[in-house]
Amino acid sequence: MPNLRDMPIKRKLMVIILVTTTAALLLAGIGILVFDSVFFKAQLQNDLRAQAQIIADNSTAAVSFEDEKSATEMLGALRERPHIVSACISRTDGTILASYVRPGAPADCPAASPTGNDSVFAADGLVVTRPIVLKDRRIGTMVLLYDLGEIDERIKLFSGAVLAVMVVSSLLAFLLSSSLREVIATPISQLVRATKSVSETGDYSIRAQKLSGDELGLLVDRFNEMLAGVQSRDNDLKKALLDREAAIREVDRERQRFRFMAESLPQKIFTAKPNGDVDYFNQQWLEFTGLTFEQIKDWGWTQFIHPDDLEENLRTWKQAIATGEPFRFEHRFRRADGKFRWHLSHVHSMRDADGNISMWIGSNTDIHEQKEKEEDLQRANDDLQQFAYSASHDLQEPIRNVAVYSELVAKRYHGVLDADGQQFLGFLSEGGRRLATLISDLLAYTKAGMVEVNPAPVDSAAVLQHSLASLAEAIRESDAAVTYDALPEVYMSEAHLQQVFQNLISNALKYRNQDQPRIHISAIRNGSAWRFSVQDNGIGIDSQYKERIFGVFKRLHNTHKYSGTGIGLAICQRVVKRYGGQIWVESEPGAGATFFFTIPQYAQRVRAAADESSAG
Amino acid sequence: MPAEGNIASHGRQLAKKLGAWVIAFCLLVSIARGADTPLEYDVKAAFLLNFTKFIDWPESAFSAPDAPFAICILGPDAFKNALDKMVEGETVNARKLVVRRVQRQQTGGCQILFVSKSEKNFSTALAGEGMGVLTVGESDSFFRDGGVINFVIENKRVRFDVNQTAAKRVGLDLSSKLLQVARKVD
Repeated sequence: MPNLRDMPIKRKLMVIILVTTTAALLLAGIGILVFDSVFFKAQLQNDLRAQAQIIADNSTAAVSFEDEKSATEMLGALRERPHIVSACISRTDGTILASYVRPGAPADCPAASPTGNDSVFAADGLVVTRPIVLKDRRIGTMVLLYDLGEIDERIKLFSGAVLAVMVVSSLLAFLLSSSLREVIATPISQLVRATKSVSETGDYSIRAQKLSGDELGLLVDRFNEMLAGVQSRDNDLKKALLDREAAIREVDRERQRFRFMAESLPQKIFTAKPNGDVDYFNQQWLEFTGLTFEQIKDWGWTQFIHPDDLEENLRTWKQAIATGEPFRFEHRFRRADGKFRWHLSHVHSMRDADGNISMWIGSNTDIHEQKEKEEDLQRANDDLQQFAYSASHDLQEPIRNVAVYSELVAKRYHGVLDADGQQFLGFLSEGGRRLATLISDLLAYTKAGMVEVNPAPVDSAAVLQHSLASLAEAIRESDAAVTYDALPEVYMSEAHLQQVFQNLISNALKYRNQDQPRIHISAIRNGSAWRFSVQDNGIGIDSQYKERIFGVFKRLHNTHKYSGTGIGLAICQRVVKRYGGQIWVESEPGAGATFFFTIPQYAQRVRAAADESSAG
Repeated sequence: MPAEGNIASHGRQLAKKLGAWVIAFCLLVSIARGADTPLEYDVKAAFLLNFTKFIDWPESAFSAPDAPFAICILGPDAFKNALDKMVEGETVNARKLVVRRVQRQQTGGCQILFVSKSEKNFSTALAGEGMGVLTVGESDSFFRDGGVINFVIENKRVRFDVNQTAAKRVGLDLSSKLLQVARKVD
């Protein structure tokens, strides 16, 4: 039998009704049966006692006059009661006067009770003993045996009746309940049907039908309310999904636009995740390297970088990932045919609303031809520079002779030469001196173009102190106050940095006004570079000359007022540019000037001399 | 145990039954020996005593309130002293029961008058015995003589017939139970 718990409610109700009905009837039946058997026994006892007494009373004469026939007739009346097995009338001495035996029963007289007057339930039935009394004297005994078949019959009869009532009433209960249980089962079935169709179709507009105003009706109402809630939430969700799909389509479109753009550019384009894993290379890359995307994605691209460039490249890349700073880099990529070609890479980070790097994008331009031309030019420039250096160096010796000997002539032959002769000699020695200075400066300028390949870091404060020591005489003469802040280490040649400091400070001393010169040197971090500044309180520079002053031999003032060859700032610019930095000035006339120059924080590959050749 | 009990009970019943039959047999044998046997008169004596219990005598039947209830024997006494023994200590309605042997014309004060079978030819003389006297006889002509109850031997057993007309005449009310056990009621 299946678990009652899992049965359909319809059947459950039926089972409950039937079980209840049957149990009630069974209990009632058993009650009636027990009650009846107890009372029936008592009644039977009384009844039989009375009957025995009547016979006993009526048989007084028969006993008195030994009338066996009459006594037997009297007992014969008991035939009407089929459950009386036997009955006897006996005399006081125990002899039997008359007896009655039911046909088929053993011809014994039941044993009379010793008291002679009672009724006892014995093994074979109820034995009723009554005395036969005449005029207060006992003249005999009446005994009868009553089998209990009647009680059994009665129990059987009652059981049958109870069973019949039970069957009939169960049937009636079943018939009645089958229509009554609809009242409960139908609304539940309706609700179940509704939930089933909702879950099968996903249609939340379905509503359950309310069939009653009871708890089931309430349940249906709540269910419908819940469905309405689900429906509206479902609609919201669908809308949200549509919006999201539209957004995704938009993103997709954007991505396609980006791809199309990236693919249509002649440059090699890549994008990378914030951690530097490259997740996109455009077609130009694949065609150039002859490799598949799978081979070069993430960090697979390192395989086509020239081995000499790789270490520097990785260091730059990783530093950029750490700081998020954009950078540019020149390096060589191996083409499909195995040849390396120079490329210029620009890599930029894209940041999201929170300022975190969301991706990197890089463009790589083939600069191989340009680079080759630059190298040719560099070679030519180097030759020229070598020539200029040699020339300047070789020129120093003869011009020193001119200066020395013209001074010797002026000393020794002071009295010999007339006024004109002495004036001419003065011009000669002055010209010689100027020529010597000019050559010395030219030599310095050409020296500025020659830099070490991998400079060691130097303490810029120490370099500044050396510079100030060299300029000690000039500082003392002008009574200048030179101050400086804490200064960093930089990757550059000590001689070059000293040239820059010395030129800028001597300029500041030179172009002073009537006030005491105050010069301040400081340096701050500016992105990936150090920005140095040399501030003075001198005459300042008109803004229209801010570019011109860095040219070779460009002087704003005549030599009479401010001495100099006009090559100092050109040397500074040449040095700073060599290290990948910049130099500029900010000033207002009469309000002093501040010269700025930047030096990259880490050593950069030394720029080609050709870069600033245009400035020269 | 139950089997044993049954056997024991059965045996007891058998013994009892056997005893009952032995007594009945002796009774029959003694009756069968002859009407004159003392046993017959023992029975008749008992019957006479029993009649007092089924018949109501009116108060007028007695000469005095404390007069005894007398059973009188007319004619030869066949009871020997059986009847005397029987009535010893017995009472009827608080009256002492006594046995008297009487002669004809001396029957006053008798409530039961037993007429021996040798006493015949009364020719309705018994009817004149007066109110309240139960006449009991043992001859075929007893009813003709006006007797009320007559002993007869039937199947070797003592029975009696009742003459209800005679009973009414003497003013005695015979219990229906008595009539029921009578062999014949006229």
